[in-house]
Amino acid sequence: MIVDPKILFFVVILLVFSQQARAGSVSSEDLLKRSAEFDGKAIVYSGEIIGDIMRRKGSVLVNVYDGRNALGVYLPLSAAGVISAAGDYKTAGDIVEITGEFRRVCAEHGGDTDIHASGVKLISRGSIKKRSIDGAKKILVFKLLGALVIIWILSRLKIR
Amino acid sequence: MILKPVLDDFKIVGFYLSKVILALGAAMGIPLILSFLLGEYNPCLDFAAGIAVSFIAGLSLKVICKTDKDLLWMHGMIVVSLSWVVAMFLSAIPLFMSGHWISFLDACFDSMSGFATTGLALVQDLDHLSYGHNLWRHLIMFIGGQGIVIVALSFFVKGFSGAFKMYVGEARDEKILPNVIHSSRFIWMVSIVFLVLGTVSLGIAGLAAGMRPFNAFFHGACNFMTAFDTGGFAPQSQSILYYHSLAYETITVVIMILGAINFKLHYHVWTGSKIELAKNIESRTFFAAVIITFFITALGLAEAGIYPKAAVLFRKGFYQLISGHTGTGFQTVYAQQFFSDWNDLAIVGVLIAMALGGAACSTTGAIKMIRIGIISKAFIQDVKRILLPERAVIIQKFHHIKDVFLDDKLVRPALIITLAYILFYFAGAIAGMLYGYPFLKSLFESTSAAANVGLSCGITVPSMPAGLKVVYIVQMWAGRLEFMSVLTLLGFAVAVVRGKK
Repeated sequence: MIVDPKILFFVVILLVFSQQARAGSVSSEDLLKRSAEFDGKAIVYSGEIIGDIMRRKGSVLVNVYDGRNALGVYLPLSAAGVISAAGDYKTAGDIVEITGEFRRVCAEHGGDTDIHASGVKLISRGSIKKRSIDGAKKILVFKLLGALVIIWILSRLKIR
Repeated sequence: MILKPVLDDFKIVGFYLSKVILALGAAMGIPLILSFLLGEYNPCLDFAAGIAVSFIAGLSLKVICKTDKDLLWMHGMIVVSLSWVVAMFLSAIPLFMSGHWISFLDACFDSMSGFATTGLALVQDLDHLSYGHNLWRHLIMFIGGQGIVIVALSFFVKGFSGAFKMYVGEARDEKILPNVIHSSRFIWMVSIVFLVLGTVSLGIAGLAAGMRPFNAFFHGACNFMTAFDTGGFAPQSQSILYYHSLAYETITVVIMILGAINFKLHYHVWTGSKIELAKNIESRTFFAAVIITFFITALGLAEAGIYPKAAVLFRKGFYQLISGHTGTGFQTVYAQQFFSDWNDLAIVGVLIAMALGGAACSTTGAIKMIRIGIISKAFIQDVKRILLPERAVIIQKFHHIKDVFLDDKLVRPALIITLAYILFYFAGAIAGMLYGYPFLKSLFESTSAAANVGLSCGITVPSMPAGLKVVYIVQMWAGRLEFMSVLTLLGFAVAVVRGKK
């Protein structure tokens, strides 16, 4: 198979830039497993906003999921305008890069583990997921319903 | 001499099992309707497949095994233990079809965890699961908490003499009302009233926390079902930490405690006998156990120095402790942090609480307060016997709805079941250690599975060994049914192979 050199170049550039973007970012697994080490430190954390965008007094709480865990992030009200979509079954949430302080036991929020963001960068805007009906599932269900009708008729005959 | 079961034995078991399967299929209609209303069409197909398979199996079994014979004790026990296994497989169908569980074994694991009100979960990417599947996860916990067989009977059977045998088989040895069907309907009535109150309270707390109105009340209903049935599944992967809300935590603590109370005690409080709550041996033992285990946990946390303020130490320590003691499994700390931030003493405090459990005839698992109360009284009686003159007559009483004289007939079964649970906890721990996990972690996770708690120290993840998943499934199943019906099923299997005609 011959690969178009332009596509190859594009893929290489994309990989290099994505590695650079990840280089300064810390994963949720590292934050939770080495929480003492990161406690009170400035960190960069990236992921998808999931669930709800919860407006609270003086801040906005979002939960950011990096593919392993979700962490609570308090955003200043001024930064909250950047985000608009939270992920769930039907929605792909905004992908954001959070810059802020990791708090292993946040004194301000009842001892919860959270991040207090000083800045938020929108990596990609969330969107509604297009989900088409799974053809294989549809066929399976029709077959099962057919079998069920036959069994039901047979059971009525047998009971009589 | 063991007698070989005859055809009628199989027909009786099959006939009553068919009713449970049909009821389960009908229950899948609830998430199907929700999925349809929300336009989640692939989940609709998942539930339609689950319903079709359940109805095919149920109808076939009903026709093949049609009988008008009544149940014996053995049949009742076997119907119960088999029902839980069959329900696990059938309920796992829509879960597996969603694509959020990497294998059918994982879907079965979560299904059994739901029915047994455990709360350990292997679901992947829970935060993107459909509302329909999420409702189903919580609904199976609600059904399991009431008792699968009893749920089926109270809605689909007008009344028959074999009901009590299955009621006992589901680890409910106390009738609230003289008739078992009336007892289970009372349990439903209490649960539904609390469901409405709990959903509204948690919904309002969710709104106050800034959630969207639909999510606030959906989460409220889901979290109520799993808190009251002391299950511990939550709609989001962070469990209760998702909300970062003191109000949410406080309300769930109240609901968890309500779920851990004996339904017989609920009945007496509802009918005006509030003093029973203060006099009852179970509530007194629970109160004492919470104080002792919290003291151990708090000492550990203070020594670890993780929480600098007393209020924070109380909030974190008490929440995990009550969650463990009631067998719920909600967490407000991450599983990874349990062993990285908490020290062994704090973990042992929660571990003891998990092993003890809540009240009998409640939705909790584990040893249970009535047995701990009886064993403690028997211990005091024996100490008195040594200290007092030999001719002294020592009478020990306890109050459980009425005054009961303590005798060996009560102490013996309490000790046997307690010993069985302790052995079961350690057996699971040995299995964990065989797979290379350290002792305390293995014991913690094993106790969490066998006592139907659901707190995790991080062992329960999709990548854990398949053999250990099977061990935990068996622990959740046998632990929830308190061994007897599972042992009867094993005895029946032996009789089929080695019994004499």
